[in-house]
Amino acid sequence: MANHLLSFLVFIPLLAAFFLLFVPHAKENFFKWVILGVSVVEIVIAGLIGYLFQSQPDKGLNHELAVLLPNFHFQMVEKADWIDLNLGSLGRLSIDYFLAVDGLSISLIILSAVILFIGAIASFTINKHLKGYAILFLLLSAAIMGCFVALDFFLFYLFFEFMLLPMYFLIGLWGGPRREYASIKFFLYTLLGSIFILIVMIGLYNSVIDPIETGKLAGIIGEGGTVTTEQLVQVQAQVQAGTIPGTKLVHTFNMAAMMNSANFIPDSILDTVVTSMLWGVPVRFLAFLALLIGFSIKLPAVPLHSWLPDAHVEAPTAISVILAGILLKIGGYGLIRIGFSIFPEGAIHYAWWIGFFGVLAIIYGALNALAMKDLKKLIAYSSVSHMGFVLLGLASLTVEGTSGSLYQMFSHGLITAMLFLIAGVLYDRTDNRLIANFGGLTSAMPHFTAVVIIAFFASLGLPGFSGFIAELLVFLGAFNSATVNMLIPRWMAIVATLGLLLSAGYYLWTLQRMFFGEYYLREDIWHSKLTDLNFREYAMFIPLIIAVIVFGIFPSLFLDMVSDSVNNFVGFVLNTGQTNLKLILGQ
Amino acid sequence: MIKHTNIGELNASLSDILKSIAYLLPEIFLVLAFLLLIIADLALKQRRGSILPVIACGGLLLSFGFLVAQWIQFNGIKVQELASVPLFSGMLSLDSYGIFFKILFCLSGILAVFFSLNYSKIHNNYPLNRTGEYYTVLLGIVIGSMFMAMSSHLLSIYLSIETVSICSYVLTFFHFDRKGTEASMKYILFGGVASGLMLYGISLLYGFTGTLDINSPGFLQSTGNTDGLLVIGVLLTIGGFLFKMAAVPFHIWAPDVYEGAPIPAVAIFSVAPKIAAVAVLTRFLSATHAFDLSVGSVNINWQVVVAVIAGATLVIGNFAALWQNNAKRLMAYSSIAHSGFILVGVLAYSELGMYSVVFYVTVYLFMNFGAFLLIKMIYQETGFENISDYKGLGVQYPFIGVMAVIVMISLVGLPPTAGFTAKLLIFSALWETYQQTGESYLFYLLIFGLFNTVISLFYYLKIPFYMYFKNAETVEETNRYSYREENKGIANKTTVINFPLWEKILAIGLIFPLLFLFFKTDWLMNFISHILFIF
Repeated sequence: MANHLLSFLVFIPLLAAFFLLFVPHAKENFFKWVILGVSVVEIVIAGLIGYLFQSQPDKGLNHELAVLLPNFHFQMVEKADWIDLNLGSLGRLSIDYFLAVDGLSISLIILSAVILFIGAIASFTINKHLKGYAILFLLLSAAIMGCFVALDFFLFYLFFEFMLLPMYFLIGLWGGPRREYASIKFFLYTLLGSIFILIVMIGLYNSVIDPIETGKLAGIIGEGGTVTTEQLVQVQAQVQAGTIPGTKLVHTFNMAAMMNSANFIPDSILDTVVTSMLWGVPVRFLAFLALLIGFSIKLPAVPLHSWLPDAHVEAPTAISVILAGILLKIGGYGLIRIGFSIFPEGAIHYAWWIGFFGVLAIIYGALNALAMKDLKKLIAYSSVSHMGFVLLGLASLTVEGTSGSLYQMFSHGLITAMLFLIAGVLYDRTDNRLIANFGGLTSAMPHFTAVVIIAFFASLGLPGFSGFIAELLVFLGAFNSATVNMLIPRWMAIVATLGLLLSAGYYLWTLQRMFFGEYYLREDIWHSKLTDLNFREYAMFIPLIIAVIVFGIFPSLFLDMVSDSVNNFVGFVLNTGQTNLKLILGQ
Repeated sequence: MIKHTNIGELNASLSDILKSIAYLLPEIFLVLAFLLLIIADLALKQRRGSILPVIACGGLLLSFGFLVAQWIQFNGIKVQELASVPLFSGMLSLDSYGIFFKILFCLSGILAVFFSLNYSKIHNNYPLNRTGEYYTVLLGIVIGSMFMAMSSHLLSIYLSIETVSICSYVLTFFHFDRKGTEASMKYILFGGVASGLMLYGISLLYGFTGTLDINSPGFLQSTGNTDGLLVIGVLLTIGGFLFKMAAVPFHIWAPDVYEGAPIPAVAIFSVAPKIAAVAVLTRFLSATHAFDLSVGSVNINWQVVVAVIAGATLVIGNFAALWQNNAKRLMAYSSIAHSGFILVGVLAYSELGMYSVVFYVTVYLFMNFGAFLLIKMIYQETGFENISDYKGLGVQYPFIGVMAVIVMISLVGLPPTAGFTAKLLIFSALWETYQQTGESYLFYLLIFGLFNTVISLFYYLKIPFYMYFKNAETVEETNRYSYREENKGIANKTTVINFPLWEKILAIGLIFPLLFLFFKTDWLMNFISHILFIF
């Protein structure tokens, strides 16, 4: 059982979606309860994974993987052969069903389960085509979970792409007035990003071999026997020396294999030893940039963000919550897991630019948020601004900065879910979200106002809420970077603090315009509609508020879980990156 | 070339012919079915509509069975020299590569027959009294394609291409209406010019090399000929293949023909001749590759030529498709764009390249027949061919809606469909070639080709978009069942018509491989990797 928890996470929603295909349309409420039930099961599984997750793992948790990639403590590994292709003169290609979890992904898995649960509750307001909605929602859940647990690039890409289709329909069918435009824009933008990723993926698997499988095919490693580090080194040495014939090389999508430069076939385009150049730039740098662009579209980073306000504004509340709460994080996670881990030298080489675009997103997003008249658009731009912190923290390549990035993704997921729910509460009642149409809501909806105040203050980074810890860690990382590894200058951290001021500005101003002052509604008919929160809404807000406060007061809950992996990650990226950088630029 | 023949040589060639005939059983059964169809059409007066398709399908199935037997027979051969059997003194050559393609043609023939079963009932211009001719010509396309895939002699290549073309001209005209006539005329004119050019190219090649057998050592490989005319000869000959593939610059016929011809005919046009042309092209290229064409001191790398053609085909196919509203016209441009992707695999020119081309065309068969079945099902239900009329269909007919999404996603090339795997393999082959040669234009083509899929997403999604996102607003739009009643001469007048069960099964049979081949790519690749490619 415990060995297949990650598979359950992916396959339970899929099975439920399949089951729903055979349920008649008319049972509308049944569909709502099924997605709620499935999301509860997902929370339980994610909780179990979190419980079983060892924050300080013993060495040698998993035989093969520990040999392949000693410093990374992947847990709950599930690996099975999936596709094995004969590529003719190119050798063989193995695609694995390869799932695992480590400190970099555990927090996002838990976050996803929580947000999907909130999304399932928020879906109770959906009232048309529920069968289709439920099936798409479940497919989306499976794809999201799959993205965070896949350790095979092909599998990751499958989930990454597969997310687009349900999302397209969810926005396009259940969204607001401009849903058609928003959904196709979202689809085209993200597909464009995934093409960048696909190019790198093709290049990578052409260049990378699986040393264990190759060793087995070449007869160095016995079938069925355990693999030792010596054998692996021997295989890698032979591959590097070119003594293994091309037809015996087993190409792989295994990310763990891609992280070790000894697994790159000599003279392949992405090889570290012999640098291939294109347009006068080493190809490995270009590959990193392609991944950076691909994931930045998802993140989104300025100037690739323009799909986000449209998609967020037009999507129904539940989908906005998932979009902002989880989908954006896949961009950040992809950068960490793939971009930085496989091309560490690129991360170092372009750290300044990554940091710069992070700061740009922080400031630009905040300024835009200030100017927005629509509450949901304001929240969307605040997301752009907050995701900038993720980039800034990553660029610093310090333990604090990277932990901060992860913390920010987690905390932003919780907070932004609340914010979109807030917009949803107003929209459900009045079909309107324009800030100027409301005033002095405190008197009509006191409880709602309390929730709004908590959410706004959490989002603007008030101490005591999780956002504060996240941003503090990012700032620490960004400041320290100048002394520790000299990757990003201090002014970036200083300018980024402006973002905090601005966010305080737009939140407090919104609070003042909408909730304080004289009670005013543009349409008289709204007076009767604006009732305070109901039970369903409390059920969504209260868990989120508790989580935001708990993680604001006890950051160690989170940091203990990730610290081991973050330390390894930062050490790995800096060491390997420097080595590779010398090889690439030294020539 | 004509020499005095003595009895011994005559005997030898006679026995060669007799021996060769044994290898032609699949084709012979198709020809028999072809003849039987003509006779049955003349002899039978009653129930022709139900007997003729049975004959056609029976012939195709028999042929299919023999092909499978041949495939198994050739699979055992692992020696390069024995892998290809020359038939009729080198006019044809039979190898596992050709057999695989022939299996695909047989399959597309069978599918086309199934498509045609109820087509006569749904189209009011369809002449019921010509069913016999229809199936005969349909078989003609399959027979011609099968010979194309085996041809290793320029003469037999020409003859088989002409067989396919002439059958296609007739089939295009089969609606007997203005559009069909126009399309057919255009097709004949373009086809005539293309085949004339090709024949001219062939004559030039013969003049320079003295042989028409592309496998003979004398053909193109021997001399260091640097005459510009030879280059023209090669290019014109390739032009003939490109015409059948509907690749730029010989693609202009496709949209009109696709729009004017009956849907089952278009379905087979878009698959069998195109795939056959791919087979011929790869054979021709592998025979000529060693010979780098050069005009004076300027070297022309054929890969660059094909790369330019592939790039242009991708761009023109994809961009022109953006503006289409007629579903069949859209599919025409889509098929042009797919030719571009196939050409990318061809020019990668490696074992993996060939594997991926074969994989791609197999997947393409299922995708395209799926798409045309979709168009046909919608047409028979509502009478609509324009995408903007598809409003609300996805909600009205969930089966059609889901099918449209899967087929279109596969045509774009998104996971989890085999369309993605096919594109992945094609571009992997291109990357491999790029890695080996270091030619940067290959890399540009790779990026260019992949970004073309983003463009293609836009128009393929139009179909699900109208089906789901647009609602039927007016009364006429909602009340689609009236279509059949408006058309006179249609027997079935029941108001609510559901798709026949076999059609649904057929649809599932076409969709299933698209998903299955993604999750079990190795299943098909194991077959393909048994093919020995001779370079």
